[in-house]
Amino acid sequence: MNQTSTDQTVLAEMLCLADTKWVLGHWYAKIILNGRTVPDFSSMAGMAQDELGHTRAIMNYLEQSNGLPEHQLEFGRRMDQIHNMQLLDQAPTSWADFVVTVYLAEHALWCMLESYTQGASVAVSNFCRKFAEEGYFHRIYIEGWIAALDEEEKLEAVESLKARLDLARQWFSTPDSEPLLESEVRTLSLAHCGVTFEHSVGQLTSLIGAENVVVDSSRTDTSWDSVRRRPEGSSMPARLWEYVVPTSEAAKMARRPLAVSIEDNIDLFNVKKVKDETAPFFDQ
Amino acid sequence: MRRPMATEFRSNKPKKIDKIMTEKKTGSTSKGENYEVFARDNPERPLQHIGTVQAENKELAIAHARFVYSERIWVELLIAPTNSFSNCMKPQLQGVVGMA
Repeated sequence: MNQTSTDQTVLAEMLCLADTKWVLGHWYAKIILNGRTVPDFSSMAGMAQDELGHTRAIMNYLEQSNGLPEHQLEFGRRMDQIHNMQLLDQAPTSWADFVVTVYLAEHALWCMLESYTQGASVAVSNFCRKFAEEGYFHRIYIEGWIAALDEEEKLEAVESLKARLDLARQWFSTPDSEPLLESEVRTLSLAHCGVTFEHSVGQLTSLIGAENVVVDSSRTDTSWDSVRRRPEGSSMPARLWEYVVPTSEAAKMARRPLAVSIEDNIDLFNVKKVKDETAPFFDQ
Repeated sequence: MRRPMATEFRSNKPKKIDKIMTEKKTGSTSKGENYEVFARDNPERPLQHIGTVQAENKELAIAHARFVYSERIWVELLIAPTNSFSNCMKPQLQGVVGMA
């Protein structure tokens, strides 16, 4: 496999992580008002800040290493070019649904990040290790929320798990080949990540008492886009996209001037690299 | 007890702040237990008491401590339930010799 092809696969895979964290950060930002105490507000804001900070770091790295203009990945893509996990497309319907969904998303991200931490790319392995460390506190906080659910909420959590688990499992669908495993950018296969994720699901089911749950697989799409880790041709729902990147006139007026626009229509996977000698070098 | 939460992704519609503020909130409740938080910013320095957090369980308390007391890069951060401490000395404690 040549270097360009590996770079494009790294770009696609890292965008799967970055975009999922991007949406997850907005989920946390949305529920900050659900806090009841100052530590609650601080924690939810901290988790949102962590996720959005990770997103920013990954996007920054990808823009530099692929010769893309600054902010291209944040403001220069259409909603059908976003690689976020389909699990987070639908807004939570209750507190229990929220807790179960973020548990699945956080653990899926952690399993995926872990596969890069011993990889050959110093930059990728370093930031993945850091993100996984910070995510530990998110996971433990969510486990605390689950432990605090009452009996009625646990029943809601079981229903939520039935509806959402298959969407999370689908994220670990194994393609015919794994170029990043072959090039040692990741050292654990997707199948291994899937097994680790199932272990986390087992912990969740025992916490909410859903050992014999029958998962709804009707929403699982058979045509799978392994580049975006989403169903073929799918895109982020319009209302979620509007929440993540507001396009209303007021939002545009309040936005800092940017050097890029969605109208530039830059092909992310076919960009001529121009090395910027003044840019910070992540591998050092 | 049902704890409703409305988190639809709306950005164009104005938020009903009154409704949000009066709705029963989710997340940790104020009925939780107190935990004392200790930290050290250098491996060679002793632990310092830096504050308290209140939470329903240990997991929530750990996360609260991590996010609330994040003003420094600690090398160690610990919590302990306040009621797990035993009094050695305190004002009006009877029978203790040497109280100032």
